Amino acid sequence: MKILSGVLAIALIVMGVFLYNSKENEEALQHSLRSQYTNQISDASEKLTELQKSVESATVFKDKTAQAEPLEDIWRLSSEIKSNIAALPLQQDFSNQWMNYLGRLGDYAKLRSQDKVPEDKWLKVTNNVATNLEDFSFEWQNATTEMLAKQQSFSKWQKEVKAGEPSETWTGMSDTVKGYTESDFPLTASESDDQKKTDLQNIEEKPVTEQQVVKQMKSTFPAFKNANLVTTSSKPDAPYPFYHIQFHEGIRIGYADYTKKGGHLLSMLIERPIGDDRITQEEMKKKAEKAVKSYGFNDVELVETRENHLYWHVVFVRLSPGNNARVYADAIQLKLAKDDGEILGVNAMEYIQKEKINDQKLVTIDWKEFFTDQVSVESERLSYTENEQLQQRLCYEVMVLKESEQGSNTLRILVDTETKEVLKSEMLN
Amino acid sequence: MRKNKWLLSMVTFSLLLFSVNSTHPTEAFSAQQIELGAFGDDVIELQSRLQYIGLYKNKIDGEFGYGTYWALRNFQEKYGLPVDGIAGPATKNKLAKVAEFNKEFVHNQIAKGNQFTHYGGTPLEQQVKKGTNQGAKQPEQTQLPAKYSEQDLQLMANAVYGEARGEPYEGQVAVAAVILNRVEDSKFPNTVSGVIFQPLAFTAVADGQIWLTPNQRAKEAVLDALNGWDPTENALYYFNPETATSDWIWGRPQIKTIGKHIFCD
Repeated sequence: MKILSGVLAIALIVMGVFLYNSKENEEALQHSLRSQYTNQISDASEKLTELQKSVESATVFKDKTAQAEPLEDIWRLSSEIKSNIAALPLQQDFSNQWMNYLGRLGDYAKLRSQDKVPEDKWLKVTNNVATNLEDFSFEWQNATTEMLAKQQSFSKWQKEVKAGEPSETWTGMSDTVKGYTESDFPLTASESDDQKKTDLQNIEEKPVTEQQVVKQMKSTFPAFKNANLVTTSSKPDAPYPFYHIQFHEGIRIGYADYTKKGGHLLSMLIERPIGDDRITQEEMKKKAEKAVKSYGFNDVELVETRENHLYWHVVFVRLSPGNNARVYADAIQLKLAKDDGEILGVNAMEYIQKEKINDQKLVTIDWKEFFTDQVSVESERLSYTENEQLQQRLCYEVMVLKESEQGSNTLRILVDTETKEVLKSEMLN
Repeated sequence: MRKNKWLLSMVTFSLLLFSVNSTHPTEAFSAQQIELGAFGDDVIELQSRLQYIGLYKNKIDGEFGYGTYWALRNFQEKYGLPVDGIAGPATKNKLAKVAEFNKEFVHNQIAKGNQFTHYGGTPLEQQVKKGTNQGAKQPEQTQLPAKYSEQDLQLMANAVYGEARGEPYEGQVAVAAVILNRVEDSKFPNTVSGVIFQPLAFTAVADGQIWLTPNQRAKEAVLDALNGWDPTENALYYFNPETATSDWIWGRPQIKTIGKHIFCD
């Protein structure tokens, strides 16, 4: 009995020490996290004040050189405050709206520094931004000072943020910033075009029935003509309506989504075990090319293949009629099994709504003048990519090779055929 | 005796023929033609042989990228072969004849995670770089679209495994797609790590399940999302209706249900 009591006493002491240590560790972590969050809030507040000053300064100077610094400050500070906000456990909707506003402000300043925003428009927008930032700064200081002054416990802070019904202060601030975004940086037509995925709601074709879509799916993918299917509709709030078909046959299980308007294939994906056999890259490409044609995508070209352990991923892009330029935004992706080349995935979401392409001048560019002597131009072709205003622009797509004793680097550079502006520069593996 | 002599000479000839063949094409490469986008042992051999004759200077990593492509074209041009950047039978035979490949050395160095080269004319032991990070475990090499990194893949696989390991494959691709949709959306941080570690954004980060080791299925799901698949049809949020209590998340416009998650805009 004595021994048992002794053992129990020791066990209780050990447990007590363990619990005490755990509690201490937890508190230390909470203090550390709270310090970090407080630091982020203070940092964001200081930068917000600096941002206000920079916005004011950017409206004062007419001289380009004098205006350059405040513009760069706006771009840098908005990006830094965005990082502060992203690292704070604030109410989700407020974080979203505030980051969106800051991102747009930074982008706008960058466009102005590149002379892509006329002065009168810049002054109009920036004067609004300056007033809005002043009002917002006051609200932000009040909200965060109250938060810090409360000296509330970390758990209470977390609880408030996660609350089903967020506090009125933050909801109010969220609405305020949303209003600023709508007034200061409304979506342009081009930006709306960029949202081509969500714009699928604008397809002007007749709706198809569930039976028609299932029939179409079985005809496109005959391997599933006897599969068990479950078809559901998108939820009423979905930006564009679609049918979601889940299927199962033998070792294969997958889904296919089709638009309700026009019955276009959005994407399809199958999961199945992959055997040890391997088809060659040449065979795989033939199968991929045959497959896209059988799906009715006749105006595309294979531009990229990527081999991984079990699958090949293949990219096709649309060729613009007339100049045969590649339209990278109108892409189709295919996934093929490495064992027999079976098509295990199709993604045509971006292809469904074709990009609007406008006529554009072609100015001859002397690459010897354009690039340094350290590089050589290996190939040149035409393709479309979007500029910062999110418009599709015709470009010279140039593959540039830079060789040195340490190795070679390949860059894919897209230069606007009319303005000679470099719209994209990408280092390739 | 004459019969024995004839037999002996036949055996010698056969052995000679075998030895000649075994050092050249039949031992080199597999039968498949390789080109841009390929990955694996054949590419390791191609890069090693091209490096042996000084035409390939980049890292030997088994990925047929543009560095390998230009080196191969230079080789084809130098030896009067059709210049197409594709390693077909004629190119591979010629390469096997003019360049050596020490398979054991190359594969050992790759497995050990060492920095090394495979140039001809220099003892191989002198071609292993002495550095501070030698022998570090190398991440599994994967071929990704140019804008993503191995680190993005790894972080997303951790997030997908932590958040949705019990979900159907489509549901795992969907969680990865939501992360990518947020990266592209101006309302969220613009990096994969920024989105994943945004406070309170993902339950798996809050409860530590993100640090579980992801399985191959989660990695494949992320790979599909990085390659463009989005079963959510552009969702930015998801929640489990059995556990979600926030009015805010219930108020989001819903798009579709996959497994136990409702995906919303």
